[in-house]
Amino acid sequence: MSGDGHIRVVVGEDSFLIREAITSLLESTEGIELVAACEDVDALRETIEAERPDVVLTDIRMPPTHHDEGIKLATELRKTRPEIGVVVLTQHAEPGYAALLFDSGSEGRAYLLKESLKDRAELVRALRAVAGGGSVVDPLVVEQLLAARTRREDSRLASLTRRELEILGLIAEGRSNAAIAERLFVTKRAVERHINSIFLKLGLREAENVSRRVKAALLYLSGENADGH
Amino acid sequence: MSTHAAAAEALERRSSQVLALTLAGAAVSCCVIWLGWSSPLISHPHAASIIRGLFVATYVGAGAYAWSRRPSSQIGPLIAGAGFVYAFVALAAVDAPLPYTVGRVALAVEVLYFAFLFVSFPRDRPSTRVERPFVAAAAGATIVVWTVTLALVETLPSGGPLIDCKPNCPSNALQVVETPDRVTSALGGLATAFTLLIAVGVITLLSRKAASATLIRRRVVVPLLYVSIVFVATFATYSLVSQLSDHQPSAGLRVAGVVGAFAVPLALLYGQLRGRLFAAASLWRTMGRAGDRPVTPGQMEHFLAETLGDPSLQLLIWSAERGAYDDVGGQPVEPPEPSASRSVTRIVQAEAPSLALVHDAELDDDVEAVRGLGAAAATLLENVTLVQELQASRARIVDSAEQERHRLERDLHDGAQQRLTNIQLKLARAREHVPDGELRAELAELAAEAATAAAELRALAHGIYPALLHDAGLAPALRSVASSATIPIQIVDRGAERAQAGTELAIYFCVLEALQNVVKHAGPEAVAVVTLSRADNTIEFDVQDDGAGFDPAAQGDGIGLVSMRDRIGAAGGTLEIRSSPGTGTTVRGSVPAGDPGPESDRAL
Repeated sequence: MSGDGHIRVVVGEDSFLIREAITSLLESTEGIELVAACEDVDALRETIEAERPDVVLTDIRMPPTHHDEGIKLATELRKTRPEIGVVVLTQHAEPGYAALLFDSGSEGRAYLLKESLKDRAELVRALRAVAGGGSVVDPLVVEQLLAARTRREDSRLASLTRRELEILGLIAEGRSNAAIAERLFVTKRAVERHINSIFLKLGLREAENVSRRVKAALLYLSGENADGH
Repeated sequence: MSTHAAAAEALERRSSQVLALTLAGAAVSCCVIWLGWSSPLISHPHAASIIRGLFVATYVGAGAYAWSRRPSSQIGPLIAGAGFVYAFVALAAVDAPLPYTVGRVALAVEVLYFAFLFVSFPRDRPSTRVERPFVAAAAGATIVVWTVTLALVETLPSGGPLIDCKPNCPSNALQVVETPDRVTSALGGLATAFTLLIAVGVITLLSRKAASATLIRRRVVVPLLYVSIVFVATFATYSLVSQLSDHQPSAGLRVAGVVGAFAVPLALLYGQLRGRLFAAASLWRTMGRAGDRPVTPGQMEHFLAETLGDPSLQLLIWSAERGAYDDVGGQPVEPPEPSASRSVTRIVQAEAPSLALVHDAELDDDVEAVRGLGAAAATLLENVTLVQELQASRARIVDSAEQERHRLERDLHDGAQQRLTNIQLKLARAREHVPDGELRAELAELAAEAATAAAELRALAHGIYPALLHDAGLAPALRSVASSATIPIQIVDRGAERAQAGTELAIYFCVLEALQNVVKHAGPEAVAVVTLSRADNTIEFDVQDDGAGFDPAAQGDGIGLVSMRDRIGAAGGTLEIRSSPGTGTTVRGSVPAGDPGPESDRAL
């Protein structure tokens, strides 16, 4: 992050329409500095090397193969530039892609649906979170997972209270305890109590930082073991 | 005229010839019975005459049958001929010197005739360098011995079990010079000795043939060998006994001789039948050995060479495209011109060339077996080709369907979905610039509408082609499905690894269908486990639930089982569904993994 608190962002998006929309959105947003917008993954890679942005905001599918370039790039940057945050943008409300993204670690990674760009605050939250090493999962994806999970009668989630489910969803979206307390109009201590109860009921080990909690929640939600693979 | 019509006409002509032969045989055997019916020369003339008549009928019948089965060979008429020659032997039952003499000479001819037939079998003429001189020498010696005998003796040598008049036989009608009894007895012994010598020669040649013959020929010859040993032994013993003593040989010996004579034509027929059975059984065994795998032309060539006992046998396969023959390796090759040592047997099916067998000319003897095996091989290979073509065309359909789905999903993703997203973003920006009021509320309504449309379009694109399947493979794509499912689903990946796109798509949709069945039919408490694994180059998968189960017989293929089978079958795999009420359902399948494609095109 630059000295004045601006987040420097490089964009990778092959669709002209979306690239224009993102560009105008970022340019009109306080505290965000758009460094460059690239059309394909090779140009994006070069720009990242040249500009060293705080965050890369990239589409998943891009030329040359139009498959999962964005996720591959995130995995690559984890090794080469671990300090750079990555927000992947996608049309896939697919928990499996989020799992692929977090496979190499969830710190500084966010999984956002393109349509969530309509909510400027949501985008800024994600950019700030990954710039600070945090994680975010699109609320639509989390909602989808939770909706399915709560429909399953023998799910361990069935033992959670309404309030606990609500808090789990917010955890999965990458919100801090303080943010959750603020949103639910309760004290931070109350949130912590709820979280301990949730982890106890889900049989998850105590987790310290936010990103591990996100990963644990996400992995649990997407049907894998909470301990990872 | 087409070859087909010509062949049909030839067949018709042949069957009328066979009928004529059969009728002639019936007439002749009636004559034979009539000749001996009240003969004073033989004991039990009625019974003996009927046996003689049956003897003629048996040979002619067997010959007619063989002729109808092997029209290209003269072996049938040859067998029938033995019956007709015997009709002359039956003249010996007439109590007068001339017919008796003719009958007795006919018996000597009959012995020669048998020698010729046995030595030639299963061909219709003697063929080797040993067989021809043997038959010629036997004929020459018989002529010399019998000319001398006829000229000099008063009482002709004993005629074995079939002419059995001793001691009341008429005298030799053709005697020229009176000679003492000693000469008669010496010449009789000589004639009998010659007969025995011929018999021993025949058995020797038959044994040799049986020992050196191909697998198939051995099976044809061996029954005749055994029967002729018995026949010749009894005939010889009988002749010796009746030559050396003045009494008739025992009834047992006579019965044995008659049985032996009857057994010969049956052995000839049985041998040929056995050859065909052996060929069929060999073919069956080869198919069995090939198991579920299709028989390759190379295996077929090896099999034909082994069965026909000709290691040099070459199988040529007609290529309809080129209008010429290929060898088993698919290389163009011209069948050689038939020569003294090499023959070409062409198999024609449905009036079109199919196979050609290039083989040792010696196999021409067994041309029926070669043709039979060749026709069976052609049918088998054609089936294999059809199955492979079907597999290939199904694979092409699966591939093009996969590509089409992929293309549709991509078009949606790059087109409609991007535009809709853009609309959503523009709507949001517009709202930011519009003050609270009616317009802002309308924009919010529009935005909600657009979000619903976006969600529906996303679901549609995902249903058409799950992008994650392509990017990450079966297990992640199915985990994603599991995470959004309404029942607990566990995905266990035991190292299935990536496979060809068509294979993965087929398995994905099959598992999806099975999981939908679990959700719909297994009951609210059901839990499903999907297991993926790999064995060699095959992906194996199963979907197990602990739900209500069903009776497959009663349910039939009503619940999407057909479409599951079709998908898996089209990808070249197999599917098995096991269920019974109360024990849950298991859907298990395996599909060839194929080539996963370039690594660069794949995720992570």
